Amino acid sequence: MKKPMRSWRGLLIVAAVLIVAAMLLGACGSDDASTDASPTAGGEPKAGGVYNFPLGAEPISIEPLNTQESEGWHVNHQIFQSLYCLQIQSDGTTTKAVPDLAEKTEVNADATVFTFTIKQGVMFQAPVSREVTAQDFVDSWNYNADPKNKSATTYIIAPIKGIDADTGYSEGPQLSGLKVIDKYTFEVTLQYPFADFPATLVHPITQVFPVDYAKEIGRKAFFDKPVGTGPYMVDTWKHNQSITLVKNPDYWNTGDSGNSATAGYVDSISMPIYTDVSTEWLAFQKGTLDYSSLPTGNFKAAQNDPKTQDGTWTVKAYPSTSVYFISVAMNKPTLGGDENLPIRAALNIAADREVVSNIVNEGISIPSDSIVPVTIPGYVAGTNPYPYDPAKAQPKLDEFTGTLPSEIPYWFNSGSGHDKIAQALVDGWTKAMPSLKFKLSGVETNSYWTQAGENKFDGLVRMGWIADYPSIDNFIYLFTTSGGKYGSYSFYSNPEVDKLFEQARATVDETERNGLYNQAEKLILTDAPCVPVYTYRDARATNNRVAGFTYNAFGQINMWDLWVK
Amino acid sequence: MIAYIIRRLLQLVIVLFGVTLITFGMLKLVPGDPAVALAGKNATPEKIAFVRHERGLDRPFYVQYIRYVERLVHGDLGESLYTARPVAEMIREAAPVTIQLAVAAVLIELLGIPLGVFSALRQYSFWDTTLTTAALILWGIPVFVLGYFAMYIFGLKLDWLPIGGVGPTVLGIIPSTWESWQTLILPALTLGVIEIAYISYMQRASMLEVSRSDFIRTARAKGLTERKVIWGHGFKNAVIPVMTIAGIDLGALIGGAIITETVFNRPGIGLLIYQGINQRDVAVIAGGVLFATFFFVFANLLVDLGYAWVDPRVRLED
Amino acid sequence: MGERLLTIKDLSTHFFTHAGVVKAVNGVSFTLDRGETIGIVGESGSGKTVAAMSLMRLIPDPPGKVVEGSLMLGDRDLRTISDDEMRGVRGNDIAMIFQDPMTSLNPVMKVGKQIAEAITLHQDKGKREAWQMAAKLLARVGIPDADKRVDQYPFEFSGGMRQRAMIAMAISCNPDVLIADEPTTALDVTIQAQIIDVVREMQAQFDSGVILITHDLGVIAEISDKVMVMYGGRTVEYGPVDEIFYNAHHPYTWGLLASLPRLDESEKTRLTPILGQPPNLITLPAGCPFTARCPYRREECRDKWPAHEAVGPDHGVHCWIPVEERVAIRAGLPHFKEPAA
Repeated sequence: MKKPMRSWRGLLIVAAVLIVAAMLLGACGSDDASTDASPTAGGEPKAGGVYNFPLGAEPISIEPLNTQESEGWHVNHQIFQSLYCLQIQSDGTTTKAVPDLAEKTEVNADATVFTFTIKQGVMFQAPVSREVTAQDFVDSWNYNADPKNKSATTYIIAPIKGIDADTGYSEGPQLSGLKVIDKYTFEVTLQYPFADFPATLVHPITQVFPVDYAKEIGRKAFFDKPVGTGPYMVDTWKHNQSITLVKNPDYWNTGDSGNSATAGYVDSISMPIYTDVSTEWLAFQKGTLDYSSLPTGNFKAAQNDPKTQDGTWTVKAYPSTSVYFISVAMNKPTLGGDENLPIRAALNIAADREVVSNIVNEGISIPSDSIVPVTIPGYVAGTNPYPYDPAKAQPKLDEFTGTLPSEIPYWFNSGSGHDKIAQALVDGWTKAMPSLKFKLSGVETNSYWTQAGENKFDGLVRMGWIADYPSIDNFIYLFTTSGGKYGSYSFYSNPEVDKLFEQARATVDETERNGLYNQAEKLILTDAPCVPVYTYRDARATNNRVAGFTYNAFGQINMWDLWVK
Repeated sequence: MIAYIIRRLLQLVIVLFGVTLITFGMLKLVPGDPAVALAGKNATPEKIAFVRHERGLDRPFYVQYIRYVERLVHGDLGESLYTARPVAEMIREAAPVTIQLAVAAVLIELLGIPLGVFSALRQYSFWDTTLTTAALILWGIPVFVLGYFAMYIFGLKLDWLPIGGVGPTVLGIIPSTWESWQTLILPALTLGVIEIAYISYMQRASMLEVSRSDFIRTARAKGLTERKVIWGHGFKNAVIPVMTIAGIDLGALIGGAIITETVFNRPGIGLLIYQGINQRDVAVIAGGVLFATFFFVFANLLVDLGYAWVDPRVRLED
Repeated sequence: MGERLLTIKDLSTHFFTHAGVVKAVNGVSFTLDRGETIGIVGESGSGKTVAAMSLMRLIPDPPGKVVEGSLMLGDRDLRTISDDEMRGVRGNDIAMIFQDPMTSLNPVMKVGKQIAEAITLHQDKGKREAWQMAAKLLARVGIPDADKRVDQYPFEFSGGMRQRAMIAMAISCNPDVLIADEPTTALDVTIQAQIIDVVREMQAQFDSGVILITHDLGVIAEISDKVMVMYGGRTVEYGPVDEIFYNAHHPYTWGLLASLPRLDESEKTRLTPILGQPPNLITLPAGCPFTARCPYRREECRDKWPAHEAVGPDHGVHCWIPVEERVAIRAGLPHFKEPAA
């Protein structure tokens, strides 16, 4: 249920100077067209009340330093702000990074130096209650990169100069790539070109917080009650039990400053921790909670529940930034190499993603035609050169001139239902191509990832990827030479793909850049180092007692937009 | 008696060290490396190696263990790999929640004793058959099924009690508000009712056996009333074996608490261990298991003392 | 002999089980006078203990039930008095000593308390006084250091001492009738004699009537005035002790006597066991229950219970073998060659 965030590791290149001006749409979250109109609309917003939002586990952290899993992010998102934030686009699906505290972003020609000017009048919450300056950003990032502070998410800021490529932490006491220009402006130098760098600035590790205050009250105290700039602040954190947020009475954005969050409506947000999703769902049905995840197997029943039908609840599946795919071990004999391309292509052609989505996943997932999820900016429909058509699978396989493997190993981590998905896919494959034999093997999760990373698996290797920030770069990276080793575990390597990827990273113009990423994507899909299966959607139930609910592809909920009817 | 208690406490220390060793050993033997999880899934081998070294995970098993024990002697249980919070503090927060549940469950469990006696006295009657059958059925139901079922009926459908959570307390374990009592009822019943079933079943068997014994006949032959025969002579003898079972059962109670606390969303030791296992957080698991063991051994000591109090053969022969 | 204490007539006790009706006692009659000792002898399952328990009304019901007969204690009918009244009889008018002293005392209750309990129940005595009486009783039954012993638990007592304690408990309320159910069976031979002595002393002291249940004719010989021989729930022969030992008329009694080791046997002791299995109490024949094992059985034995036949002063037998023939057979048996004087 709980999604670990994944990451990428940076590479290189190219240039151009451009000003990535603030793309001003609605307040950070969604532009007007995408707001879910019917059930959540309920007259004029009004202040007051409590929003009851369950957390699925005790967050590992809620402060910028170490927020990593979705539970921590839910809390962190209401308290902290960064230069950029996530916004659902007018198509209702695509989630994009747009400026938040950044007033202006400038980038040099080869996309290696970014200059950020922050908004004036941004205030830290009480008891710090002072204006945020460029120095605060630099201090925050230096603090987070310090190996002493043991952040688990420094890979996000790895492109910044001064981060040690091996350890992922800063080499010296301060990151050499950060420089304060004036009170509101600072400069970031990267180790390599990365034009989509601003997209990474939606991540908690890039958020601003009062480092002096954190040092003054001590690490432990700040961990329990961190201070940010957002519309809500921590009231109490009863460990393993609940977190309570209260409205920030002195929130800086009283008017409408760009995409930044506006002051909240509800007085407080109660976040009890429900470790068991079935219990959470029962508590939602009882009315204790305003929001709930759905236990496996309950989605359809929840949609048909009388309370959903009469509009008391909304039960919906929100597309995520995940992609579920089967990597092919490209440096292994069974399916690797050019000679096996017909088999890989045939596997793509006969992969019955509809069955997996509709039957195994209760209709919650969306069949994938690419390694890029629909929610990511730069996604183009119909990219897969081997679309599903079981009748064409055998003819494709017949193009293969060698000896068919006696059996194709199919590896997955056991215990999370991957066996069912594997079985559904294998059923489709053997039906379309009776001459193929498969061997399913489940491996305990932890050692599965270790062994996959060590290139121990031959054949098919079950994989999943969730974006950390809204950039197609996240996904194309998976099939670069580096990403093949550390990301997709396909050990795929295509110099042309690497070259296009590097070019894209150095291209400042967004359209042009995404065009290059798409070219790389096309090359990858044609080589078929993987079988994309689906993009997951998060099945959620919300109580329409509360209006203004939105849920972006990263699972963020802007709780300041919510109000009790 | 004092010597006996001191000896038992010394045994406890040895048991606790054994438990930490086993916990450490098992976590070493199971596949998977916490450093991989800590470093993130797409981390390079260098990053993983760095994290492993930084957290001391690359040191040999015995070095890690000795360091742990060294710190343990000074009362330091280490810190969580993920949150860096001191484990001792996590245990301190979680322990009252578990103790509250365990004490409530044991009190409920003890209802099994009169039920068992009641059943035994009416052997093969309607009530006996009903109670015995109910006990066997309850005994066979997994805790989580019973837990969900109880929440569904009493929490959702009847809307009498809250679903999950804990409430404020005094002295750490006594609920201080009506709402707080309400949160305790279902989990304590879920955990306790299964034990009631077990205890009443054992108590019935024990009582039946005792009621057939010669000294009961002697008591009757003296002209004692049936009430005096049952409670004055039979009960004390019949409860002794049940006490032993109840003592051993406290271990099962901690096991049951892991599931019960997860299902009922109670932030106790069980939930701590559950989350620790999920994250392979050695210090958290070891701390939780240490506490559970301490609780188990200590509870057994109390039961043994109670046993000695009831049975002169134990008390006087030591 | 003194006043008539007990009059048992035609006592039948059956157990109604799933397997069938267990006819444990069938038509047993006897009397007991003050100062008199009656020995009931027979092998396991012959109904002797059930007969005694019927008297105490301690037959577990269900499945057991006294189906017939009258049980008179003086002029009180033990079958019809109320439960409360019956509790007043138990331990007070009729007391019982059980077979196994190791299990017949409550292991978790002090010996003194177990004795004092009966005293406070039946006599108008306070706890303290009862406790002191308990100590005195223990001393009386020959337990040394009784003041200390009274404060101990049964497991701190030896087997013989426990049986003494049982006796102390039984005599604590000076009962009219003392039933001793195999009081020596579980004890060492040397202790057996001591216990028998204690019983005898106590009887002399309190002038009680004693019912001694045993399978050991040796014990009977030592202490009884009368003997009742039971087999398969029936009385097959009864009479004064000398009559039974020297003028027995029933083949089963002969068998019992033959299996008795005799000190006057100059040659090596030959014990002659009774051949065959004890009867199944559910499928008892309508006639003599001993038929199947009787070497002298005849046609009428199985189907019809022989009428009572007086064969001496207060000596009766139930047997189909004509009296002359019985005497002839007995004369041929090794044990009866030389009736002792």
